[in-house]
Amino acid sequence: MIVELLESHEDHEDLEDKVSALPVLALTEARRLLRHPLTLLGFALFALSVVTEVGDYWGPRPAFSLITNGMVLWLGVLVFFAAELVASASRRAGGDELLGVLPTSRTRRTAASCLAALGPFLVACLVQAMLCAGYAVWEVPLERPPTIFELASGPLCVLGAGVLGVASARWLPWRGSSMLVMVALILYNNIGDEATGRHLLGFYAELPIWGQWPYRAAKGFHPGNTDWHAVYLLALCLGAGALAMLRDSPRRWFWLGAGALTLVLAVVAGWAQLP
Amino acid sequence: MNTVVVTNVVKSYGRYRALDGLSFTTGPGVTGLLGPNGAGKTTLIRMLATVLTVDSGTLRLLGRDPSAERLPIRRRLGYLPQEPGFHRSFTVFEFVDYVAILKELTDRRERHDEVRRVIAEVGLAAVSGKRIRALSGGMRRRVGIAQALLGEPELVLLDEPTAGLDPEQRLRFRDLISRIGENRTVLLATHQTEDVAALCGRVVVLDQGRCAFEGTPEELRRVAEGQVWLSPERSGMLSWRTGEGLFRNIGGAPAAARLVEPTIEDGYLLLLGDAAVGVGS
Ligand SMILES: Nc1ncnc2c1ncn2[C@@H]1O[C@H](COP(=O)(O)OP(=O)(O)OP(=O)(O)O)[C@@H](O)[C@H]1O
Ligand SMILES: [Mg+2]
Repeated sequence: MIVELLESHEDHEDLEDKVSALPVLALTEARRLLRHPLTLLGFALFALSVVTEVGDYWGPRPAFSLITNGMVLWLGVLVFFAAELVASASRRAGGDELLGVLPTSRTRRTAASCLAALGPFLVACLVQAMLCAGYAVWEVPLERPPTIFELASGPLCVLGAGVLGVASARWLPWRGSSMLVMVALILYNNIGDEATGRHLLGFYAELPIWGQWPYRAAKGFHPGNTDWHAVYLLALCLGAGALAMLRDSPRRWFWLGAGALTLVLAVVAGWAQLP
Repeated sequence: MNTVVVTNVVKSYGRYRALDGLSFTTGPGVTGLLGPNGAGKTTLIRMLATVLTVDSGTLRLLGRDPSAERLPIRRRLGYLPQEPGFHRSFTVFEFVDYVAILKELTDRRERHDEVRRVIAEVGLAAVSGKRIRALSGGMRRRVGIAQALLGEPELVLLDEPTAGLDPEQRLRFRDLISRIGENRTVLLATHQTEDVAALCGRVVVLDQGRCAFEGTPEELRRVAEGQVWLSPERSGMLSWRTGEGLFRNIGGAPAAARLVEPTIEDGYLLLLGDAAVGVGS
């Protein structure tokens, strides 16, 4: 198998395949990702958390958390695994040989899988919008209305999870490797504490202060710039995409450059978001 | 016109030479590829399908060199690997449709028509909404044949397409492939000499990575002409007991033997001698 993988290295000729196949393929991949049981489970769990919050612990603090980072757990986590499984399905089934000789290059397939992560992202945006409308209709008490950047951070984490799942499938083609990536993400997420605002470097970043029981009471917000936090998350999404594309594309320098650029942006935004 | 030209091709896996200076040519029509296990059939088909590259020697497919012009060849190719490996959660329709998209059939209506056509060709229309993991082995094989026929490819490579098909489906397959072979090049690797007899205009026999025979099925049959005997006793290695209790012997005449008409299988067995029955090297 190693022999074959080496021999089918893509070159520039492979990129002369039909570009018009990309949107069709991306739509198909998005449908696969959205219909994956783990993605469905993620949305179901988010709906469940909305219902339980509304039913039991309603109050300014949990309501604000729910609408900003509520999507990261579990929807984001599950979308990461779903994307990894969908992107690696043909390899795990032993179907790479059949698909590998079709005119659409592997690079194009990877691009389609990355674009497909927009599927769950858009649905997450829609869910977020519906939740906002629900808050308005039921006049849910909030300490202050969330900014558009704070609202975006949940769907952006879902987007990043999907794209990183594809990158993980391309670079780490071993059973269980996605688990290791998730462990690394969790470890990274616990970087810095909330008092210093450095928790914003993670993905599951709590914005309101929890304080003592009853947690639902309003206690103000952790320090840090949430506008830059959204830019930071977006840069990480783009970086994951560049990483995925770098694997097979013959345009190595292009994707290395794009990756370096997003890394610089992530570092700048990551630094700017800290208090 | 020769659509497949193989000249002195060598392919090694590590130190082992799977193809050892193989040469043959073929054109439109159905060509059968016979040979014992490990003869190099799959290795050859993989090279023709642009999965593998040659170590030395040259290949020309549809008038092009696959090492320089891979994509134009891939656009005109239909390929069924020996072990296709399907995404098992896809339905039959979804899988063939997915392959059709990767074959650059972007117009939705045209693509769906084409997908339905090939699914019907292999007789799977009734199960096209079923998940592939719920299909029998023979049905899965037919899904593999269906995807290879998408877009009417000019070069069709099938690695053991009839393995696991029931007799009715084999018949159907022969009819389908012989129709395709009227104006396109079909190469099929197989162990079924009856398929070769029924379907192929040419046959190539591989043995230890070399071409042991190249000709028509009739010529292969005639290799054993005058050397197939029915007798009450076994003689030599190429001999087996038939249903009527007599022994069918290939080679020299045993005692009290009756000469019978050879089949392609007899020719093939005689040609390969010991290699065919698994002794010798
Ligand atoms: N990936 C591989 N790595 C190492 N050796 C291989 C590999 N693939 C095939 N071989 C060897 O090359 C030889 C030819 O194999 P090939 O699969 O082409 O035979 P075949 O004629 O298709 O046999 P069968 O009828 O069993 O399918 C065999 O001896 C096999 O062991
Ligand atoms: Mg084989």
